[in-house]
This record gives sequence, structure tokens and C-alpha cells, in this order.
Amino acid sequence: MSVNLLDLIQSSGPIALNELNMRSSEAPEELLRRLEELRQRGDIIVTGPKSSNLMDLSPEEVSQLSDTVVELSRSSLKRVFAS
Amino acid sequence: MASTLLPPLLALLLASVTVLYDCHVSIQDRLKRVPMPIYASPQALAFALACGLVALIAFEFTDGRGDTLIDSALGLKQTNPYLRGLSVGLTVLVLIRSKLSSIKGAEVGGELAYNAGRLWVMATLNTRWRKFKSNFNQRNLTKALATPDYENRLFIELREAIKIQPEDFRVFVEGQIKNVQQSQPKSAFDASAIDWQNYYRTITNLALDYAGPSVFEGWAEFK
Repeated sequence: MSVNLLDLIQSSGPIALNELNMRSSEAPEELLRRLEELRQRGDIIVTGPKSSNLMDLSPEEVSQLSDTVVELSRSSLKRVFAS
Repeated sequence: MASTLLPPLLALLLASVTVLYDCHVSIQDRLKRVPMPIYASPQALAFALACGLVALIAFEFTDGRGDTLIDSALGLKQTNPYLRGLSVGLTVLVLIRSKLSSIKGAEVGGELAYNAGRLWVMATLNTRWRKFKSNFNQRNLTKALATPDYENRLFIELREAIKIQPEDFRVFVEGQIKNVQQSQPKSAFDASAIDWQNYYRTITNLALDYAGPSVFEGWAEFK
């Protein structure tokens, strides 16, 4: 079922990549592509192991990475309040 | 003595409470999740106190005669100092959030500072919320894994807790429940398996995000 990715990250607070993978509607490859896109736009920040090369991760790694954390960037949080 | 100290303190207290309430409501609205008790956050209290101090200073510029803008707008020309303290405390956000001017659509003035303060509170609450969930899972994951029919029972409680929420919110949560259930490990249940532990951690966090810790109130063994 389709769930807006930014809404999910916004409502969960900082969220582990493996958990985000389970709660979002996208397949792992698509999820990584969307996250990279959001990161390049400055909407999110990704921290932790392997956070610098998201596109290189395999679906298995995505389902296991609990220390890689995704959260809204400060500018994104600011937009949330301004909206 | 008390009559000169209490009215400005009343302004400070009411302004602080108003700011805490404003933060609580805006975080609940914007983040779409059950917020943590805002009074438990030292950053939120510090921000509220700073705004309260503005109210206290503003009160000192009132005398009930209505000669100044602050006296007219915030003090409502009240001659009774207690009523004036009450009025300043409740309306000081108008002063704090005043836009002195606007440059290319960006606000300048108190609004800018107020929004920056609220943003700071929201960011710290986000961090605290993640820590809370992590600690909750540490304390309760083993019990969750040992609880018969945990998943169904948890989702029943979650749906019950959010049934008073708007439909779009319920659809949003329902979508996540469906997605998570599709990711359930295909292997037979094993409490010691990492994928089952991750699954249980994820559904617990999902319930905490949208129903808050109270979703576990009826679960005597969870703390």
C-alpha cells in the first residue's frame, strides 16, 4: 500500500534503514533511489555505516542495516513548520 | 510586596504555558505522531521560559493607562495588575511572533527567532523519541517475542487507539501496517532469529509512533 516516504520519515523521527524498508511501500532498490534523491535535494540526512554509498547497497543489506539512520534535515524540518 | 511581584510572574508563567501548548500542538499536527510529553524536555522548558521572560519584560512596560503600544495591545489597558499580568502572559506571543518586515518572503523579527526555537525543540524531541523507542525495545523485546499472538494483539490495540483520528491518518497508518506485514520473515517463527527480532522491533515502533506508549497500558508485563 502506498505510503508517502517523507511523511513516514517525518512522523517516525530518526528511523533505521531496515525499519524504513519494512514500513515503506517501495522495493529496496526503489527506496534507495528515492532516499538518494531526497538526500541530494537536502530533504533528509543519512548517518551510520554505509550511509555515503546508498546506491551500492544490496536488498539484503537494506533489510539488515539497523545502524544506518535516516532523518529529516534541518531545512526540511523548517519547511514542515512553515507549511 | 506580593502585589508587585505576582503580576509579572503571572505573565511569565502564562506565557511559558502558552508556548509549551503551542509547541505541543504544532508538533502533533506537523509530525503526525503522538508526541512525547513536552514538559519532559528541558529544551522545551528553556524555550518556554525564554518566551516567559519576554512577557515579564513586556509587563514592565505596562501601567494600565494605555499610553504605549504594549500597554494597549498586550495589557489591554487593564488597571488591575493581576488582570494585566494575565493579559500580557496570554497575548505575548503576538509580540514575539510579530513580523518586523519580510525580505523575499522570509520573515524577519520575532517570528524568525520563535520558529528557530520551535525547530530546536522539535529536533531535540525527535532525538529523544528515538532514544525512548530504543530503550523501550531493549526492555521489552524479549517479552514481546514470548507473547502469544503479539502482532495481532498489538495491531488491534493500535487500530483502537487511532480510530478517533482523521481518515487520512488512519489510511496512512494502515498502509504501513500492510507494508510491514508483507515483510514478515518467511521462515518459521524463531525468537532468537535476527530477522524476527527486527520484525518485532519494527511493529513495536510503529505502534509507539502512532498510538504512543499508552498502547501498552493494558500489557502488565511491559514497562
